[in-house]
Order: sequence, then structure tokens, then C-alpha cells
Amino acid sequence: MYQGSSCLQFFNHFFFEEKTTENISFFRIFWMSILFIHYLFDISNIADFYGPHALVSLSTVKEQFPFFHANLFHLSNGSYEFAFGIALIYGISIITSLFGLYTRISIVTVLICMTSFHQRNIWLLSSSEVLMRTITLLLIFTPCGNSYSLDSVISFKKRKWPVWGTRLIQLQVSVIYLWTAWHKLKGDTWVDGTAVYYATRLESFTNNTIPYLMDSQAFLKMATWGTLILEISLGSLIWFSEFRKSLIFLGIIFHLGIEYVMTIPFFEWYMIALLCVFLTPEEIRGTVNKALRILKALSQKPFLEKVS
Amino acid sequence: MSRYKKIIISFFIFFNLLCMLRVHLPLETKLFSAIYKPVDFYLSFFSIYQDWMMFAKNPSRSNSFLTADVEFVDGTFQTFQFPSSSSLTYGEKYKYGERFRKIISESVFMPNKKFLLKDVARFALRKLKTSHSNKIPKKVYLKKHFFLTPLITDEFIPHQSTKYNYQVTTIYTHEVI
Repeated sequence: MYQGSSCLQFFNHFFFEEKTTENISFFRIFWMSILFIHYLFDISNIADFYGPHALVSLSTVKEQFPFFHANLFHLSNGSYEFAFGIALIYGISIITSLFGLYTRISIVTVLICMTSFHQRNIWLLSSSEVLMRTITLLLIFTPCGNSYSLDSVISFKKRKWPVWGTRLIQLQVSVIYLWTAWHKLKGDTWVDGTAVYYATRLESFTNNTIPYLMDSQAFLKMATWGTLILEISLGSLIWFSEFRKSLIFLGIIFHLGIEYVMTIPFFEWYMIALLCVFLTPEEIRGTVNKALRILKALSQKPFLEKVS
Repeated sequence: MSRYKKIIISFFIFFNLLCMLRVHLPLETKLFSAIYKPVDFYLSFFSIYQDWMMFAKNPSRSNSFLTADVEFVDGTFQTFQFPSSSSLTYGEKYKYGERFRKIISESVFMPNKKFLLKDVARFALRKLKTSHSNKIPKKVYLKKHFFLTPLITDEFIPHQSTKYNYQVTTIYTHEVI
């Protein structure tokens, strides 16, 4: 995929090649849409998790994290007014990021508000929230507001841009899959094929079942080893054009499967969005144009025809 | 792009790669600790230490939830059950179920996070106060309900089984008065 006579040439081509920005802009919309749904779910938790009568008091948090970090709650007495104020700014900035209005400053605001909420009660958080902060931070450094955005309508935006920001997000995705597979390989249940059995027997993660299959030891073994193979492939082979599209497809099926059987809120959706970063600008442009053509065709037909 | 800009961005790329690998490469030599200093500050500032160890090395076998028994001055008791994912709807799990699971099973039950117990007991007290405002609370007992999935070689538990026999132990007593 990448040819170069030296490491430096490879580095230069890999990070500084100029490409159009449709794929990272599409990712911005996808990512911010999930963030917004997550936000809507979380807004009703202000009293229990972030207000003055929250599960963990602000004084405990301040005692445990006395060092300088991104948490606006440390500047306040933790009142409801303050928590709702931050929530309001957070919501508005997710919407402006979604529509690509003042994109970079909007994403910075999203990150600060998000990190503040997360660090207000860090013990509540799981991998989904680490992913939210990590990727939103990296998104700031990408030209994700240059296409499919209000910014690009209001003012002229450069069509081509060096891909280093997008590459960092792609590398982050690889690191996630490879590290998780590496750690799993150190455990005996992943090697002997029983890990999926134990994971699906955790009562708090249970969602739907698949009759027969979830009680078939042969299937559970296949699912365990299949997970390892797929995670290693998604972290490595996805960089090669021969495997990229089929791995993205398999990855999406894999994450939807986990979502169906287990409840790990939002994580699978964030990972599906991240797999789309590996689609090329041309592929995204083609898909968007196709969708627009279908919408246009539908809008020109009478209503009953559309329904039928 | 100018050469200087490229050099600065290259340093930033290298810095970010170190951030991604920091937890997995704890090479504590003098050189690396110097390199890691700004990396650690950056990771702490945004709280983005990443280990990606979900269900690794092995998935946990422990099922647990928490209740708070409040003893009132008149000798009566009332129990508050912290939301437990197994009894919640799909939407409730998304909203707060996973968050309660996380803090309870991975922090409240941990010996190194005992500083959370007082806050958690007071939270339960506040929740019960709305329905028992006329009673004076005396003590709050935090109780851990615990069930370890047996080894597959000993007993095969069918998916979505209701055969979970939880054991109960009191992990903390909060004196209100």
C-alpha cells in the first residue's frame, strides 16, 4: 500500500499526503450524533451524578484529584445552576460541531465540558468515556469542518489537507484493537475458548439471547477465537486495501452482535463510527451522492408511490 | 506546508503516539521518565490513560450489586437498592445502569477506594428520605450481594439463567447519629 525507499519517505507520505476531507467530515457528523444521543441520556443524571447531592460529593473528588486538570467543577461549589450551565454549553457545542459551525472552537468546547462532567465523578466511567475524550481530543487536530459543514458554506475552505490528524485517529483505532487482543492472549479463558461463555454470563451485561447458539459450547468457542482473530485483523490488516472494506463490514457486524447480546452502553456505536474513518474520501463522497440522488428521486414522486 | 511546520507537527505526532502507548510501555529508565513527564501531564489533564483491557486478561466471573439498609431510631428498617443492570430496561441501562455498575463493582467494593463508602451511604439516605421524611435514621448498612459464576467444568449455566444465588455481606456501617 505504501511504497517508499526510506522510513522518512514513508513517514512523509503516510502523514503529510494531501487528501480531500469528506471522510473525516463524515466521521465528525457520525461521532457528534452519537455524542448528542449520549448527552440526551446523561442530562437526566445531573442530580444523581453531578449536582450538589450527587452520589460522590465534590469535596471527595477535590480531595482525590488535587492536581491541575480539565475540570470546570473545581472552579465552582458544585451547584445545580453550575452543572446545568455546563450541560447547556455542552449541548449547544455538540450541535454546532455536528453542523460544522465554528467547528474547531465548538469541538474544543465539547471536549472541555465533556472532560469536566467525566472528571466530576471519574469512578462512574468505563471504556466508552475514555474513547469519547481520546477521539474528541484528536478530532480537534483534523480538518473535519472543511466538508459537509456550515463553515464550508459560509466561507471558502481548502479542499485538500494533509491527513496526519485523520491518521492519528486511525492509529488510535488500531492501538485499541491490538492492545485488547494482546491482553486477551495473556488470559487462559481466551486461549481455551471459554471467555465468551463467562462474559455472557455476567448478569449486569446481559441483553438479548440467541436461542440455541448462546448455549452451544462449540459456538461459544468459535465466538471466543473469532473475536481474537477479528480484533488482531482490525488492528493490522485494515491498513491494506485488499482487506479494508471486508474488515470494516465484519467489524460492524461484530460490534452490532455484541450490542445485541450484551449491554455495554455506547461503546459499540463509537467503535462502528471509528471504523468509518478508514473509508476513503472518494467512498464517502460516492455514498453521500448516491443517498442524495435517492432522496431527490423520492421527493419528486407522489407520497403513495413512495410508501409502496 | 513549510518545513518548520512539518517538523513541529511531526513532534506532535510522535507525542500522540507516546500517549497511545504510555500505559503499555512503562519503561522507567531516566531517559523515558524524562520523556514521559509531559506525556503524563497531558494524559492526566484530560484523563485519557488508556489500557483497553475490557474482558482481558480474562472476563470477570463476579456478579454483584449493592443495597443500603437504613435503621431508624424507632427500630424499623428500610432498604434502598442501588440500580442494578439486571433489573433495568435497555434504556435505563444506557441512562444510568452501567454507571452504577461501574462505580459499585469496580470502586465501592474495592479495598483501596473506601473513601467512597461514606458518600454512597449518604446518597442512599437521601434517596430514602423522600419516602420516609417523618422517621429519624440511626445507621446505614451497605451490603454487598455477590455471586461468582462457577467454572464451566463444574457447572454450565444457561444464558440468561435466573439461577444466581447471591451471598450477602455488610461492607460498611455509617453512623448517622
